[in-house]
Amino acid sequence: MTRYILKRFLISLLTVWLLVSVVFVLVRLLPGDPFSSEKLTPAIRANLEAYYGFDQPLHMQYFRYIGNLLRGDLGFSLKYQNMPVSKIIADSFPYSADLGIRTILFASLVGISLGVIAGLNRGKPLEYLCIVIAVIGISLPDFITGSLLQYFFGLKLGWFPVALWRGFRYTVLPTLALSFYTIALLSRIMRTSMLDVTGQDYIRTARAKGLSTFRIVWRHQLRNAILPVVTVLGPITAAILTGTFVIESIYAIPGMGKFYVLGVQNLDYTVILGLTAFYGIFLIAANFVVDILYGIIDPRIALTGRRN
Amino acid sequence: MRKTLHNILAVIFLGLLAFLGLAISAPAAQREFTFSMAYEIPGLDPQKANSIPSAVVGTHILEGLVRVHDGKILPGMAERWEISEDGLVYTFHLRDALWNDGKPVTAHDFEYSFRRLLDPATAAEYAFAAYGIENGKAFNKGEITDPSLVGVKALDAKTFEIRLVEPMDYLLGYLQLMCFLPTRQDVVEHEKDAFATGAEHMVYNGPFVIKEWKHEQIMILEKNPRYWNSDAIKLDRAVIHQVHEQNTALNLFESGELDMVDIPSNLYEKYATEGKAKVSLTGADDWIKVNVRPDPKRPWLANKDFRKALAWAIDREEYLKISTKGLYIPNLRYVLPIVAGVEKHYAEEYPLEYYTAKADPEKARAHLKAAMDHLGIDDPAKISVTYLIQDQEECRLMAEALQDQIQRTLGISFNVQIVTRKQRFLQEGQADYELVYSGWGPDFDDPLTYIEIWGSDISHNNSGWGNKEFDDIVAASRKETDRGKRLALLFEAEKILLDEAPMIPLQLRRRAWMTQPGVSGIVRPFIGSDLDFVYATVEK
Amino acid sequence: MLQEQPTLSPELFEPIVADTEELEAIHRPSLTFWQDAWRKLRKNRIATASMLVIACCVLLALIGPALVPYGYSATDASSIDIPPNREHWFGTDSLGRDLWARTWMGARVSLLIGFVAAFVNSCLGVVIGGIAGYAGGKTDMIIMRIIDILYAIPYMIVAILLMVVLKPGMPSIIVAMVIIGWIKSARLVRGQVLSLKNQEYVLAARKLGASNFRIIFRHMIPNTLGLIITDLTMAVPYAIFTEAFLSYIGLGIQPPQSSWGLLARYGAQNFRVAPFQLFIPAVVISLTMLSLNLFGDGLRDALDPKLR
Repeated sequence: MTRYILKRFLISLLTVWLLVSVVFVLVRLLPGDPFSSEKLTPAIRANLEAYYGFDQPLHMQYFRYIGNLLRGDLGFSLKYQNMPVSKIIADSFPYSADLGIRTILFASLVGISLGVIAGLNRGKPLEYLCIVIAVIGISLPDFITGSLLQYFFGLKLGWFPVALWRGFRYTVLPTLALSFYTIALLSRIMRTSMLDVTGQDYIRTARAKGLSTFRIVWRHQLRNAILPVVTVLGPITAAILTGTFVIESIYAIPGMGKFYVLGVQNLDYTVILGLTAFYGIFLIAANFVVDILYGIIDPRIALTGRRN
Repeated sequence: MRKTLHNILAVIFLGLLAFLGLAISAPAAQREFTFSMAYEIPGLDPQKANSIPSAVVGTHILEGLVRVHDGKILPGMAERWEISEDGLVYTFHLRDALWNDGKPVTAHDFEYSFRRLLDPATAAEYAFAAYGIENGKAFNKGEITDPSLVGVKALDAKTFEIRLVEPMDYLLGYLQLMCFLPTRQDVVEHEKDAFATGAEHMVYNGPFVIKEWKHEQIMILEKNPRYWNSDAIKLDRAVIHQVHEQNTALNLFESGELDMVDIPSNLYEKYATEGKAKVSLTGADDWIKVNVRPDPKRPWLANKDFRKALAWAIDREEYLKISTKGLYIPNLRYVLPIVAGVEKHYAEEYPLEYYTAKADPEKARAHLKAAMDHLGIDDPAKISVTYLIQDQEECRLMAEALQDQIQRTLGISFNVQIVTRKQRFLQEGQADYELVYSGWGPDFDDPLTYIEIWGSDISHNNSGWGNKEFDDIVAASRKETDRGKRLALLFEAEKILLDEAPMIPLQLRRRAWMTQPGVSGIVRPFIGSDLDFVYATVEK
Repeated sequence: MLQEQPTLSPELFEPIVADTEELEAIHRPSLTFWQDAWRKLRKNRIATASMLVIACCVLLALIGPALVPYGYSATDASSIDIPPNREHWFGTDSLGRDLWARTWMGARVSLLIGFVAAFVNSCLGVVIGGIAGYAGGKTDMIIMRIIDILYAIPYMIVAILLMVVLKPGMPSIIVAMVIIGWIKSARLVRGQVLSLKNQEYVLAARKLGASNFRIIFRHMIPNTLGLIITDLTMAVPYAIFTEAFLSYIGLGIQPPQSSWGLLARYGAQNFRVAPFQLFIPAVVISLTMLSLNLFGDGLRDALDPKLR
């Protein structure tokens, strides 16, 4: 196992390097350049390009970037003057992570519970209630749920603050709005997976042995049904923890989300690269954890390549 | 007995404490003004600043040679100035003012800042604003390297001189731009890369200082007690929240968190009926730019009659009513009507209604027919144009309204191409477009800021249109020292531009905004910063 | 007293010839897996009703715009933001265009994109995820790391780059969705296959000499079909809103066309002025998704090999 983890770690480093290199090329292919604006003249463009080292050949810029990256230097933003990308991440990530952890915990709890309830109450009204909740969650994207929650519960009813980020009360609406889709996704997958497991032989065996329903559901069904949920939770966690543009904009949360979108809009190459590398590390780590969890949940799964 | 004394003393002591506590916890009511900005301030280095959010903060924490308030030029760091007979030399006499760290503001600070603006190593985007200064352009382009050749000079600690290439009678107003605000050499050199990235990484000589700056979240400004005119500043604090969504800002305003908010166009009618909305021109002037280069695949674009047909087919009033609820208003000429004339606004002294607010379908079709006859096209359906816009909801709505009007009136096919903002710049720069939604915001209070960009050797003019007469008139106006004669020349140039129609005027943008009761003295300028709360007050 | 017993001669006996044919014959009509599924699906009333709703939607998409005298792109300054009434059944938008016509013109775009993109994504996901999970080892590692990289590249960059290469239109939208869209299904399928390939019956099949092909198609796919269907139904709304995003940045449908996602976006923007502009697309999308999910559930139950 230790050897497997070590190997995975080395491969992960390689993956991050590949990711950064691919994105380094892709951002340069995006139409336009970071400096263009309504009023830019060619002479001033030349000054800006020299200042940021864009007058160097592309491969030199690449080697310089990778060299700096190895020293942990993500460079300066091209849009926000004198602002190191690492400072942008350090400033904004805590907010995104805070909101993200709340969302993941809340959404997993509710989503998995709904899925289990639906799976155990097949064809009963309770199942259809769960389906309706789930469908609303996927049919109304975050830009709708976010603004509706804000308008009704924030402005009209005044139960929660409209926006900004100053304490627990401020986190409720964004957490709810951000949770909808994940709740829907998890509950649907959990329900299907529960039903898939219900017909398996070991459940029949357990029932024949006379185990209580609770014990069957808890010990056997859940454990085996949770696998797909773990699969989808991995990347979702990485994505939500590193910020979401829509919800952070609607609730004026100073998180990382908007830098992805504004970074691409402004062609702020260093910001895009820095954030992508950061997110990539998260994603790769999350998927790594998922693979390890597979083995724990279902010991028959052997990732290390050894087969019985 | 002793016990009683103790008790009495204790009561007195507690009473005193309570009294003191009250005095400490309730000082004179703070006059605080809270508003929001849609985007993070990209930087506060005055010479490098390139955006409106930067300018809003910059003009409140720094002060240049002059201060422009509500369109009037007031003395700033300079208490008086002289202009030479030929209009080429400006001499500013500085007042005894201090930076917030107690050091005096000197002419050397201005000399340093102006040179820094032009220094190619600074890579300042707004360096072009100082190209009118002697040797400014050459220094910025690297053609000369000695900064002392640039026409700015500290004659002594309190006297600053600017030498111009041509008379610029609008120069004083121009100096309000953020790029002309002062910085101090010792601070810039000490802070290096950290300069102006946080409250403690810069010095202030304006009405306010930055108290706290949490990027992407909040900025708090506090009254600067060392500001020379601090007695006239009534606000104690200004709080700026970063709120990206316009609807969110509006909800925050309605829940009482903000003192001022901009109203999105779709809600403009609602608040206007309630009598809450205030409106003012933003200075932005929008038009359709036509690529007039001859091209056999689209010969109609080079045809003046065809361009006129488009211009007359647009019902500006209806188009703006449906796409912006009447917030933006039709522009019937080219230059922003409210830029300065000699005494009054330019448009009052040089009136012109070249197009009409309503469409003139007859005229449009007549122009189209003339164009088709000339080109030998028998069916308008054979004509197709593509209109390039950038990916903003507002642009899409406006384009859809235009598309419907033009197709209905002319029977040609009018396609809309949506691209990212950066790609729009790229395609415009490479003249890879047919029609493009374009516009300009003024840099100084003069028709020239709009007229000069259509010169045939100006990089902004990528329409392929060039006119010798136009160029000559603009060149002549630059030498003219009489303002009335100069504006008359620019008026001639404006008419040539409209006659030749490389651009089809669309609209003047207005902003709608509202404040909470008790807030007064807010000004929304149309040049540089779009908000001026220096002399505002809040009574709650 | 003694009665004469009839003599029993061997001639009197006739041997019963065991008719193995007859013994082994199945008297009830034999049903294949798919026939059985279809029978069960028809018996499921909720699934049938859902199917009808979807059929109605498709029908309205085809004939709906022709039922009103208004063109879907005709603006009208005299009828802006009018709530639903006798002339305009769904009201008008902020440009005075008839929303009934726009909704059903939009249905053509959204339904087509939703179904095609979701279907292609699922197919690709099943194939790639199946290969990764079943082959395991190095193949799995390489495929999964490529997936990590693809997933970590900001989608906006990919979309903008595609816009440069492709002409805006339906095929480009589908390409833009498929290019990343299959990843989620692939991870899900891979997780399931990892778990299934060590199940007893798969081991048994393998020991009995079943080919990989047979194991995959007879055992793996039927057992993951439930999850695949759930994933597919979830992918449809996702595709509909991704289209709105793509249209927003210019890759999607061009003005004056409409789609459900775009209608919802406009509706959310204009919701304070004309709430029906949000509610109409939201209800239409939700209803379609509800039907789709209920139908999907019915399909899953019908295809469940253990419930046969």
